[in-house]
Amino acid sequence: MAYSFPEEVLEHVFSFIHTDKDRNAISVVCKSWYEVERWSRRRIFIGNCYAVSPGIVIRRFPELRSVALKGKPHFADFNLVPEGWGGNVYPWIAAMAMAYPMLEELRLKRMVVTDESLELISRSFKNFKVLVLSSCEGFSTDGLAAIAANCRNLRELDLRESEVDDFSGHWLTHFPDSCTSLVSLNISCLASEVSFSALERLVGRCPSLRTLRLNRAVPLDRLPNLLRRAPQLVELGTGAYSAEHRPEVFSSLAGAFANCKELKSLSGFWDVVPDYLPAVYPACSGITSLNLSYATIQSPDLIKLVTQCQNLQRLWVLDYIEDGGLDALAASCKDLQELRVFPSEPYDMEGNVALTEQGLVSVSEGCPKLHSVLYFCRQMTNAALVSIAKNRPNMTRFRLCIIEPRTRDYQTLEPLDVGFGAIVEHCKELQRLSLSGLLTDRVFEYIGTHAKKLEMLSVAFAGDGDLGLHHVLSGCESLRKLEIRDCPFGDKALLANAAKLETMRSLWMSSCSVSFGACKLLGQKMPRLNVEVMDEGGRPDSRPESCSVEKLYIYRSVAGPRSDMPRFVWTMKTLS
Amino acid sequence: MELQLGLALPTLPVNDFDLNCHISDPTEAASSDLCGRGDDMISGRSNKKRAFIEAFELPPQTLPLLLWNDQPNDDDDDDGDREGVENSSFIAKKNDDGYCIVGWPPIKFRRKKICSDNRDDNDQTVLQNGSAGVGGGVNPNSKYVKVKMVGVGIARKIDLSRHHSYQTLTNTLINMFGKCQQDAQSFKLAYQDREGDWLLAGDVPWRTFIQSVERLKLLRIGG
Repeated sequence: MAYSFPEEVLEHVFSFIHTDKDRNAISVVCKSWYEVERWSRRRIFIGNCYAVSPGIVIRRFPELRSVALKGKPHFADFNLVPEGWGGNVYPWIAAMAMAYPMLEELRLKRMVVTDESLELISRSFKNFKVLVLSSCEGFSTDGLAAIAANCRNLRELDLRESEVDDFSGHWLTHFPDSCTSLVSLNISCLASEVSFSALERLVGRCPSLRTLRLNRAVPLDRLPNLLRRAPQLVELGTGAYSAEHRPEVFSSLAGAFANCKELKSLSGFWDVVPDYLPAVYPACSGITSLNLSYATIQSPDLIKLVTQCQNLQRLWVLDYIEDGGLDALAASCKDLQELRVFPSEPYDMEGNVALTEQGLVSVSEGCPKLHSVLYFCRQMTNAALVSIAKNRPNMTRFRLCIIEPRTRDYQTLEPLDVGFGAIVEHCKELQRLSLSGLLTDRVFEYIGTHAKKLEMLSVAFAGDGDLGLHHVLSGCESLRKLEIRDCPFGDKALLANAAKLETMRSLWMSSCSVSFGACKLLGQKMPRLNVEVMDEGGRPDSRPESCSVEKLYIYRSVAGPRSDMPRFVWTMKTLS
Repeated sequence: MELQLGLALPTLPVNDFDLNCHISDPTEAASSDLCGRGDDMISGRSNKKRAFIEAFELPPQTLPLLLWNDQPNDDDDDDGDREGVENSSFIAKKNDDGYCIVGWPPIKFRRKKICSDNRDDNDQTVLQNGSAGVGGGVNPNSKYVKVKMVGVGIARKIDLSRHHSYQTLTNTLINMFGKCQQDAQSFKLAYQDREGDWLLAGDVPWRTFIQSVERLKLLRIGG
């Protein structure tokens, strides 16, 4: 082109473009767009902290304000990643402390965050506003005290499901009296009692507080007082929801809930005593999100609460809800979009509740907007899966966990290939899928053929051989994350689709049939892939190359092999 | 495709690269049949065979796989399959004993912890409320073990420190599962020791039993 807009104009236009995908597209139009875009990029999401180095990011985007970083593989949630694997955020914080003094937001997931890192954050970024630590570990309440004390403009402190060394609840007193900017505070993962008076004062002086998620140590009789100080709350996580039966506690609680006109989301409900649940009924008509996944109460009590929430869009619940409760949900909550049913006794193979495939079929029939499902159960049929698929072609996330591995269709004794096949065939927009039950290579043929939008697939105890993996890698065009455990997938499928791996964020394979030799070959021939073998039993190269590796994690990277590997991780570049 | 080229080992002849020998591997066919495939499945399998080849398009450039076929690779596959089968039986056995597979079912650590907290708390509350005159406090000598009765879905927990003989233990358990004492004769009590073996209760002295028991199960005699 002979002419171009002035940079200022481009920059102004770009400032209206926010999604990562669009920004990425802009940056590859031409050199001048690339330049304008990189200088004006304020937010970045890095799905794997080892896919790029802090230095590379800083060189390309000198003016970032918000950084989201993810560390360990998803299977770390289920204890499959050994302790000490890596994912320490410190090198990133240290580099950003120098490069981005104006950084405002950090969102970290599955990373190791030390107190040292938290202190550095609290001292380095003068206008720091948002800290979200999701499933992170390695820090203590001392580090939180530093954040509370030094981040004067903090708007959001969200610890989600982090593992915190919880020395004391005293850290909360470190918020200075001048701190009135909190919009969101989530301390639900903490164990110890926080200082109630400090909490009450903090809640009382933050007029913009929208989200407050308490921990289990906050007793029910403290809740009314907190709610009275923050009637503007939109999202509330209760503490322990139990008390001895005292009418005055009930009435003050009911009054406080009735006064919270903006409330849309409820969670917590630890140790719930059903007698106190009617206290939330006045707020129920506004509730769109209800997390009862820690509420160990029986189906009749759950039904009473859930059917009060006619505008419910998201429900997380234990399997105590049973089929009867899901029928009631299907009949009364027509806006439901997301359902998660967790097992109350995950290690009990026989089952303790009347929850079957039928409950999910009912919800799929009754709730036309349902598009996201996580469902733990103990039996399933192909017919049920076909019904669900036909009822809900709008499904985007479907995760089914039949608790006993390799469970067949209990009516026909067939594998569940046809049922999952129906899901991928009918749900054209499916982005995430988790498989369970007895499955042959056939299901992977269906997936490879139909699941063109699938981005993340989890597979366990499935398939007959290489063919299954080959179908997925060669067929699923949009696949970004693939995680596999205990499947007989081996070298052939992996090597034949080596190029595919460079288009994906990561591949996890544990207890599969991939040989050490294949890992080595991949590592040597694919310079942009980091091929990491994990073996806690000793050096994998001390055994024959044909031996299967214990755990394999492959991801693309522009940063080369990482330098912080523990003794049980080997990268296939340094070994060869 | 370009990257696949990088894996090429052009010195090896093309016809050695035959994925069919993998698919038509007799041991694999046998294992497929074990999975209960009908005739239609077998025809489906031959379809897949084509799809596999078509997908590879078998350009000579993908020779690297040949390397793996050339090695005692078919044996590897057999190993892999056998391993899978062994794993599955291993897993099933473990489940019967109440052990779990690492990371399965896929539940986050935090949820797992809270679930078990809840369960223990609830069970203890129930038991404490049920035992009059103990004052409600948690006895530091308590030894809770899980009890199952065959055919009853919900497992219970019982504090063994409150019992001093097989007789009172069995009576309590029979009551706990809602059976009357007349039925007691139709049940026998099995226990799992620290090594994970299931043994019949009553064969060792009570004191030895108390020290080694990890969980209990009531079995119906003759069925």
